[in-house]
Amino acid sequence: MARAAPPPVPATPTPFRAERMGGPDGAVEWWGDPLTDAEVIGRLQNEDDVVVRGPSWRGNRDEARRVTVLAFGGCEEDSPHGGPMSLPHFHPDGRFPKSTYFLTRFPRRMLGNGNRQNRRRG
Amino acid sequence: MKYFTPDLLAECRSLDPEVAEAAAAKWQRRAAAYRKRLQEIHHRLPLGVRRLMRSITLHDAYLLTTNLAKERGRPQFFLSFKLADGDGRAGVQLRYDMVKPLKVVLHEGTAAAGTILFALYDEFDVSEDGTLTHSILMTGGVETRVRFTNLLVTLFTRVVAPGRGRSNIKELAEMAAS
Repeated sequence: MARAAPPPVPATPTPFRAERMGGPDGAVEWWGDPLTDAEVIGRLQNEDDVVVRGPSWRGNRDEARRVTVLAFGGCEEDSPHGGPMSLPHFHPDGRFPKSTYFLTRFPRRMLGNGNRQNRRRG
Repeated sequence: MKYFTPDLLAECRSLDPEVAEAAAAKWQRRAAAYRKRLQEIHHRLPLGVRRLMRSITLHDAYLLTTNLAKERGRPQFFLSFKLADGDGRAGVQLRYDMVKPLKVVLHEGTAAAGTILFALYDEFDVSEDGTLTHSILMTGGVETRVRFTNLLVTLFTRVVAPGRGRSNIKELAEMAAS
């Protein structure tokens, strides 16, 4: 059966609802419509995750930092950990609450994996 | 730490995008190299290590206690953490049967006394003589290096840590020196 192509990357860095999937590969699932700043802040302060998708690593990183600072007043950046599909992310300063903000892109090597990948839910 | 070094982490966090992007690519290569190394040594890792790697991540885990003991004359080292994302597991205790003294490396020279210690990245390795090493890099540039023969992992369903709020880095360093 043909696999659906991943949705196109937004033209500018755009935040979406996200959730870390269980398992050792660190994959992240995202879904829904783009979020406004207010929605991002509410979600992060509620300890839920957000993923930024966009055309460039730098742009995604800058946007992730911007909204994390908006939500918490400061941030700390962490490199990927926990598996081949894990993503770099931001924590609030002091790591509490433990909301995590992911940056993302679709690395080429992940696109051919039909089972586990950073993907859109649904 | 051989792969996820504090220097590289600092570069990944750089505000200079040129530095950060190059470091991120390097980090991905290091992560791939570490996964390859783990595959190579997997058969030499004791059950406790494999269980730890399979069941939880220490990333963002809050260091609760470090304890030394002697059981029938053999040194044991205990670490306990409150887990950030444990899938119903609130915490973990690691009990190492040590073969060499604990090492504590302060990568930033002197970490601030008030630094709260969270685990950032950890690595396992096996030397030629079969000695296992577990290195854990924590906030404040604090790294513990435990050389051991066996690891017992106890998962907690609930963790209460009254009176916590300071890092005790000095006491940890003193433990390594004792």
